[in-house]
Amino acid sequence: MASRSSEDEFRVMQNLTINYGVRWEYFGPISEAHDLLSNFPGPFSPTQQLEMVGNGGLDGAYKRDLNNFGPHVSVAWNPFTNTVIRAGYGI
Amino acid sequence: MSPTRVQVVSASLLSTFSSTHINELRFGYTRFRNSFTSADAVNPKNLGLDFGTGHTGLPEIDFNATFENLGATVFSIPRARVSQNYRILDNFTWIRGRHSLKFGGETRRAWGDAFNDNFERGIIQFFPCGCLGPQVSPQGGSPDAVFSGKQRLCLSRNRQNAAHNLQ
Repeated sequence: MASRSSEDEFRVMQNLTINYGVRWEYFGPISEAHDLLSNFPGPFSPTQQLEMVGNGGLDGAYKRDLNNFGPHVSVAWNPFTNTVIRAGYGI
Repeated sequence: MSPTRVQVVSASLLSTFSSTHINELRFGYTRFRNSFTSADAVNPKNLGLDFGTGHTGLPEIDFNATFENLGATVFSIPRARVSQNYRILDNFTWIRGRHSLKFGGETRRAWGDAFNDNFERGIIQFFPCGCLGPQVSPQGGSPDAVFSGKQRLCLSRNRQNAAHNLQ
């Protein structure tokens, strides 16, 4: 599993801060030292039978997913003394 | 008996290059080991059964799919697991004007080794008819096949003689 992230905490005004950034995550497919794994090759496989990993079979237990980006943004606003309003959203 | 050992190592390095440049490096490692061996001390030789495995405890004994997993059940066979994982994390913070920029990366890796010696004590199977393996001695008595761990051999015998073998 690996991840990279970058974010910026931007103090727009003395009472307003915006935080935004993006995170990329990768969770690699599980593997077994002797390729003792099997899976269905796909929903449209002509055989509809399990195939082993390696030895001309599947490349892995399942396909890698390299497209996991998670942007996020949040805001902190201090309108009055003793009051801070925070809101945020991320995926 | 089920001894367990857990080992954890972690380290952190916080570097302040200047008042606006800070780096944080962290490392972690965990190792978990758990094994199981049965305290079953029954020697099959004392019962007239020599399977040549060198292990105490009865083998797995199956009767024609009617009675299965007698003797060495799933709760009495040796097994062990070692799980390890490590994690490296780095964050770099750069303060510039009204911006505080942070860049980071993390790598984790986890792996495990395990074994489950299902037939360490051997296995003996009895069928009423339809031989799939070598016959036992027609005189009855102790089975004339030797079983070793991870080898699976079938004995063909009727139920009456099977019961005789186990007496």
